[in-house]
Amino acid sequence: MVGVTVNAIVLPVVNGVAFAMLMFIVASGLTLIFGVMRIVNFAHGGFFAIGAFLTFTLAAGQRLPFSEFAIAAIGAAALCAVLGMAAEIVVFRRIYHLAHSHALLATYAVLLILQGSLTLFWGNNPRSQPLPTDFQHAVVILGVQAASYNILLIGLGALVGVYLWVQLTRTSVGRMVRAVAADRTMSASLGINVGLVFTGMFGLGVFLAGLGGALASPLFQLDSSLASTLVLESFAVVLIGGLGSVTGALIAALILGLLNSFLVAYNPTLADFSLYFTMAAVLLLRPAGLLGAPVLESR
Amino acid sequence: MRDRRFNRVGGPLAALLLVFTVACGGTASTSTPSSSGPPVKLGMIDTLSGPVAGVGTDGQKGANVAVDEINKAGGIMGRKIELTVQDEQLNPTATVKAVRDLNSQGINLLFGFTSSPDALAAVPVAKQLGMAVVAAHASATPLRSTKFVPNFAAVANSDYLSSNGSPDFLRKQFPNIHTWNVFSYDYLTGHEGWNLFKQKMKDRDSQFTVNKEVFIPPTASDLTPYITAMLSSLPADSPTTQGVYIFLFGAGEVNLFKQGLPYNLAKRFNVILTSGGGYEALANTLKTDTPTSWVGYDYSYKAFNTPMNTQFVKDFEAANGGTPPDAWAEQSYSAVYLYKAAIEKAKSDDPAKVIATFGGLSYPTPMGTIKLDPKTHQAFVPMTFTEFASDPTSAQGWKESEAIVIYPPASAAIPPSS
Repeated sequence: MVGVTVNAIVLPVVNGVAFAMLMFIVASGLTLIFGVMRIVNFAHGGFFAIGAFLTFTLAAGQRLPFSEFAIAAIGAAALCAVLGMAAEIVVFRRIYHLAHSHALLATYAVLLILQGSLTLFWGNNPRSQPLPTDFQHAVVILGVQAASYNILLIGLGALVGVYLWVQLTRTSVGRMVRAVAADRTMSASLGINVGLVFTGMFGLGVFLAGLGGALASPLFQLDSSLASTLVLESFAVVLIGGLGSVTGALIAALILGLLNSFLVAYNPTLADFSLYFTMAAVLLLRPAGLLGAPVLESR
Repeated sequence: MRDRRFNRVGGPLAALLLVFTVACGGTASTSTPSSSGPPVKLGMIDTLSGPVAGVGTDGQKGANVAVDEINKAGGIMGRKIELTVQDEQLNPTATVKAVRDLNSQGINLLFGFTSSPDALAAVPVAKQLGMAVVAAHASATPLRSTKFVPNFAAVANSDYLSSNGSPDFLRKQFPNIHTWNVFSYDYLTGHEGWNLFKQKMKDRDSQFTVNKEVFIPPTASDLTPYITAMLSSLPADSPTTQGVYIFLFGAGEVNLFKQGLPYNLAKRFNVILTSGGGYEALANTLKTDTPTSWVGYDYSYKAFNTPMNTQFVKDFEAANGGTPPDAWAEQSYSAVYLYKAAIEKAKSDDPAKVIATFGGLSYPTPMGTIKLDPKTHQAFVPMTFTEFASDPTSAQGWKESEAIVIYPPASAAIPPSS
């Protein structure tokens, strides 16, 4: 009886937290970009997909030891960051002062370019990146079998969360970023290179999208539809957590991941709607999201 | 000032957006014949984007081969075929829009349709507009029974046919497996296919029982909770005593096996039977991760020793870098040949006259000459069963067995209520 209870709780928790961490890694990039630059980056899913495909290419689609897979994943995310910074300099920097609708159009255009690139460079045939050799088995936790790769995702998600928290709250760079996010005009007048902060933060946000794609590559078929995989969930995480709040994104990802996992286990009919129910409920009760503050224009 | 700056940035962006919308979106691609006569216009509406894009893209490749073969041989009654393709988008609204778009272009002979809900939305509109619809893939029974309209025909095997053919095969091949599970998409065809399968298995096996039913939303990306829900229900002896029926296709099926790999999902069953075309594409994606599994569907390129199949495989491989055709490609290929037969019989490509030939029409396919049911316009197609497995020693990473072909009786293809 105790075994059944542990099984019934631990398994959905492990599954839910693992997927939550993947959502969090992707969504944290989205919320960082909004928090600093005040643009909703529709191209985020495109960078996620590019990260996954670049990992496949750098790993040559082979089943590799984790150390080599990690090099491919970080390399892919870094290349995404370079692409993101180039997009910021060439496209987005020119429209920060314009209305939100222009930024939506511009990020959507970049998304279409990235989606077109997927087909151009990798073709129409789907691809598959195998799991790293060290993480293709299940491990036993409290008597329950869980995929070791899911445990890895939980650890990496926590690592990303801690890194972002330290970076944003305990370093001089973080203070500069928060200053720019709060008032870019005042920050510039105090000598902060606002353009450099924007480019750097956009690069970091896209790095996280690429890293999410790289980590997701062994779990999903790689095809042109990947740009829309996880994106809806990531936008929901950002809205529920509060636009611009990394901590809010973490909490929202955990809520959505756990809710979905338990509903699939105990009431599958409702699972498909859990994301929409949660989003509607939070937006009704707290329109700015769990930890979000009403957005002040600082253009 | 702001507006002027937007003009410098926004103008080119808007143009770029337009270019990419046209390039990547659901607009038509057309293969234009070079003959001087008026072309026979065929419209293909199929899923070319999203998680099951493989159905439509493979189908388009098959249709292109048929069009090229027919045009090279002089066309239909001396007229070349012009094929226009639109994206179904796995969305009934987009499908109906595509139907109306093609109608406005004077294209009234349609085929394709990955999803049965999309086909169910398209058929009444097409009827209203006087258009013919041939389902190349959509397999739901209502299209052939309660929702049947005379402008509809189906080259695809129906759920009813699959649900009759698969139990016959399983009882013969695996007589000791009485307990079954299911992974299926949570949509019309998924539920219907599984319910029919259960009913037909009960008819054939008095010991038949169901252990666990897992229905997965077609848009779900994280399948781990669904996989562990299934695994939690399995007894320790399931690898020797239980089977699983998988009614998934495209990315969902690949993701199930990828995410199930750490749990040895495939090895927790004595037999895996999947129902759906395009398994070669799945094996080409998974390579050495391809699970040992049987696939039951209407066509396998290895199964039919007919001159037309030999030519089809040869032409398809030549056009697609040596890749052999899958069932989705064959279904679209055969749909084009169905129209050729219907137009030649009607001596016209007028949709009303073409539709009038559907009842009892015979047409050539790689599987041999196939006949449409006079009443429901359902093709009497065979079923093939092929075993796929990982093969690390081969260049492609997987292998397939020789196909077993069964020819269900006509009564197995048509629901009694029709």
